[in-house]
Amino acid sequence: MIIALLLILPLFASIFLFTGKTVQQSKNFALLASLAVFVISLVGGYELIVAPEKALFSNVDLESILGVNLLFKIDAISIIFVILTSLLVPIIIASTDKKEHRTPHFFALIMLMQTALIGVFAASDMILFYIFWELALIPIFFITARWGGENARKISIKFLIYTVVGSFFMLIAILYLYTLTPAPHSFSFDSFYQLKLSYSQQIPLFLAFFLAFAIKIPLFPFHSWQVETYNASPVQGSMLLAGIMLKMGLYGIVRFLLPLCSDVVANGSLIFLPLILFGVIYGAVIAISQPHLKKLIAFASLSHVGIIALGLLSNSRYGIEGGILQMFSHGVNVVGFFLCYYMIVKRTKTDKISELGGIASVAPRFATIFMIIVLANVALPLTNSFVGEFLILLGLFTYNKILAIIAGLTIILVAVYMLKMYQKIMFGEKKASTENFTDLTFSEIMLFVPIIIAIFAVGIYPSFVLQLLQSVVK
Amino acid sequence: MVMESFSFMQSISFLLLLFPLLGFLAIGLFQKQLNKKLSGIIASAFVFLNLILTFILFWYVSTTNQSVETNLFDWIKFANISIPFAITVDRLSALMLLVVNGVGFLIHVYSIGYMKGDDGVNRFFSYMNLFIFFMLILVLSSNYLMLFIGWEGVGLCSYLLIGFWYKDHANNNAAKKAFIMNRIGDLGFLIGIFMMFHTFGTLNISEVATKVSLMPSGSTALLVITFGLFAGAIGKSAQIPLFTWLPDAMAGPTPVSALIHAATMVTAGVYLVARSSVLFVLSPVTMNFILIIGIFTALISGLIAIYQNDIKKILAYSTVSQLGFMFMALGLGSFSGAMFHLTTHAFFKALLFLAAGSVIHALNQEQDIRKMGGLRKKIPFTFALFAVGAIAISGIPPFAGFFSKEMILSVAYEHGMGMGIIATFISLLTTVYMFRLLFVAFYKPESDAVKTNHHIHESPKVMLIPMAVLALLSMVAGFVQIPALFSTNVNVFENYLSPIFLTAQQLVPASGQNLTVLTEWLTLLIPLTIIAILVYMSYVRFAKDRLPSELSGIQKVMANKFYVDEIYDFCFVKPTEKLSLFFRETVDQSIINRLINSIGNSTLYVGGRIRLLQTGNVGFYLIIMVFSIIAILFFNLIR
Repeated sequence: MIIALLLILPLFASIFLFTGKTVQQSKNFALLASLAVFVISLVGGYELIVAPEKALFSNVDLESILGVNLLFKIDAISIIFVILTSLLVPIIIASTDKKEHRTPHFFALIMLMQTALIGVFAASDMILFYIFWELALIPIFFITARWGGENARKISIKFLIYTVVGSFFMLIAILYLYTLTPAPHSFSFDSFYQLKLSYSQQIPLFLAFFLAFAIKIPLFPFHSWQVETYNASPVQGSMLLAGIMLKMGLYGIVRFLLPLCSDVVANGSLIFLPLILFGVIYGAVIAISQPHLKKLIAFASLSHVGIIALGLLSNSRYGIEGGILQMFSHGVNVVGFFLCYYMIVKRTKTDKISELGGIASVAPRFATIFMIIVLANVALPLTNSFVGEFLILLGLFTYNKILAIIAGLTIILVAVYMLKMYQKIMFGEKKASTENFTDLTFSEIMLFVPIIIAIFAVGIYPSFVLQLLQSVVK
Repeated sequence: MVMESFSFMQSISFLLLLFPLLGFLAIGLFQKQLNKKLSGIIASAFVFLNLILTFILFWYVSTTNQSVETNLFDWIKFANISIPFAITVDRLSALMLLVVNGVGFLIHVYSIGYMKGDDGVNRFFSYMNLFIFFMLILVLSSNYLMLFIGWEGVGLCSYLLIGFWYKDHANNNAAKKAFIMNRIGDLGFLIGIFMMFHTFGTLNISEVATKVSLMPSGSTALLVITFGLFAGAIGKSAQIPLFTWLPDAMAGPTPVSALIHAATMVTAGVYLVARSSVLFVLSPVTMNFILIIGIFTALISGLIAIYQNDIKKILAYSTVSQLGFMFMALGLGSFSGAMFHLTTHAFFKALLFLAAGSVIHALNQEQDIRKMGGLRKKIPFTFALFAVGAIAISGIPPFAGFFSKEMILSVAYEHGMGMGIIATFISLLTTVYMFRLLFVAFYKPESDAVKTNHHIHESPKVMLIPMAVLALLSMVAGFVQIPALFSTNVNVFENYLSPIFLTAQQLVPASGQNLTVLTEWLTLLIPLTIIAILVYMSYVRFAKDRLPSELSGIQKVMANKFYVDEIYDFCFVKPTEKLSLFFRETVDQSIINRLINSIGNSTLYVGGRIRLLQTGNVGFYLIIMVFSIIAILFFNLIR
């Protein structure tokens, strides 16, 4: 019931909005619908907390018609991402500025995106998973191509091709797995989990999945679509991409790579972990000298999700649970970061860091909120990312000490680029572009409230999430 | 998150954290609404409440020899990892509580006067209370990860307060430098924590101590753990090679320098090592390393201090030097000696900074001692208080510095005559830079700047009274620990802390030989004679109006702090920036992006040639996608 509502509600809202006309009402309608989805997801979360061993099921048997069994299952891992999605989507919708005159289609696409994302996280059947995985591309493609900035069309096409190529590898992996299942063949996750794959079977499977997910996450060196797409997309699109959509790839690692290719992960880590680690350092180092705020967020994000991937593939339960927790935290933090970016660009029309400065003296409320978001990104203790990154590095340390120490360098680098950026934008004397910077309005502050609550709630009491996960992560 | 009912003492220890947090939230959230005169009073009141609670707890732990353990809630708990939010008040943390809340309260009160009229006064006091909150987490935590919360938290407050006047980028750079240098140490700290968890399966301080006491001395795991923790201490306590942030941190308001960068936060490294005494004594290599770092830091920063002209910079290098002296004591295994010097140093260094702040306040933000002179008559109270601080820090009896230094020196002499002479030399440097400062600023004939300044005024009572209290403490605090030469039964301080360091001392008993009474007298009297000579020479040299002499080569090097900043800039900062540019421009743009684009373009080109694809036709890709989905469904049907 809950799953059906989670999927159908945003879908219907989307269809309704496609037929709509007025701008302001369509925003309010979308906001209302997404808030309803949020409440429903919390109900789902509550049911799982009461009985963490159980999972929410939904089953539409279309075996006779289409040959597929529409099987949905939300367990402890899924619910974290369902809640992340339904928490962030209302914020993303509400952040849309009135002055930008977004047509109803814009909100319709966001709601469609939400359906697809929840579908990905709730699917328990490979066909469904793949359909939703691909479906999620369509709205974000149109959002970027139509409402994006310079070169948006060209960049969105590159993005689409790139990710479709990635999906292609996943498709091959799925079909390969399908042929391995005992007759009558099945696409359900459970039938895949029951397979005892030999090492030689795991290797090609691992490569195909890894490539697909590495492009989606993205991991170095498959990241060049990311920076451009974030940059070209309207900020709501960037938030959808960075906050939720790139979690699909990491979610794929948790769902498929770890259980299905466990031997390869255990043996091969020393081959691909250094590569991921290089990307982590690479992103952080580039962020130091990045002159544009939005690109800085993109490279910082590249570095942060790389750390998550390190944790997930660290062959340690601390790393895996920390990685999952950090996926949630990163979604919250990066959306907060993009919101700060949006507040600045809305007022100054520039995201060139060297043209900004002195904002703290005219906008103290914004300065405080931005500082909290920066500190959450810097992983200061008592903010959400600290626990995640601590567990990831602890997991990595139990696996390989040298890798953990090198990965630890990011906690220095992140302080370097974050504080440098904050100082240049917020401190010093005012510049021409920031002369008339107004402090946040009440409704703008309200956008940040759920993010700040999430930052401290997870930072102070992460056991809540960790204990929910411990029954599933094994 | 079940909170069991607390006993009286447990509730008190919990309130210790709650009060400053409330102060921070109350002042921080209502910055705009709150009257600027009120915020200082509110902030001070919360710390005062804490001070009362501290006295109760101190009385409890010192009379009963029990510790108060309070488990607040499970912070990180799953599988076999359990890190609660739990606090412990034992004798060591009670001592730190006294220092933090006592000195903290006095500096809060002083700040009411010092920060009067500043636009950001509410912000200032909210940060100050936040600092007290994190500092108390640091000293109260019963496990290393929670200690790390406080550790990074005080670093954050330090960052915020150094860059308090953020319109000037010099301040912001200093703040950023402090945070980043601390983070370098913190990485070491984290690695130590990882290794600790890996080795012992727990991060609880007392459990770790119990488990480690069964281990053989000098194992690799212990080496990694202790080096990691000490790396953290190097960053936080500004030791070589991470000491350059502390002098720059003087960009913050002077009360901040007194509280954070002299009395409390920077001593956290000493506290950490003392807290982990069992771990450290079982790793002799680390102990020797600490000793060497301590000696070099104390020596080099003491030499630099002699050639500085900024009143706060002199005091900052002095702090670095005194911290080095404390680490030297730790390296020699004298944990209570280090803690004793930490305590007395908190009193007289805070006093010196506050007095310096009073001078700066009187001279409208002038910090260059060459532009002072003759202040003895202009601001006599400040002068008297400053002089008390200078005498105390120089180790002149019967002020507090004499006793704490003597405790460390006697350990050094027991260790060996060479070590003793080095320690004495380091402690004599204090006299040189301190009395140079005193004579130049207060005795030398008035400089032109002072002569033309008609607004020089003594500070208000709200500033002078806290200084007077600190001066009193600097005079009498030493009598709790009198050198064995004079009396063998006044060991209040050592006895108070002995239960804490008992295990460490049993594991590795002090190896030093006892000195003859004659040697002891000599090691006491010769330095005192030299101090007297040095004071006299300083008076002759600096109190008279003489043209400053040209600096010789080596002096110039010292005045330029051995060019350490420049070396770091050349070795680390510049290369990182270059690497960043190289990654951004060359690797990312010219190699990776171009490669991907050319793969894409060539595919499109080939595709266009065989008329299968049309460049940029999105519809086509979508159709491919839909078809592939249908294909799977179809595949499924016909299997």
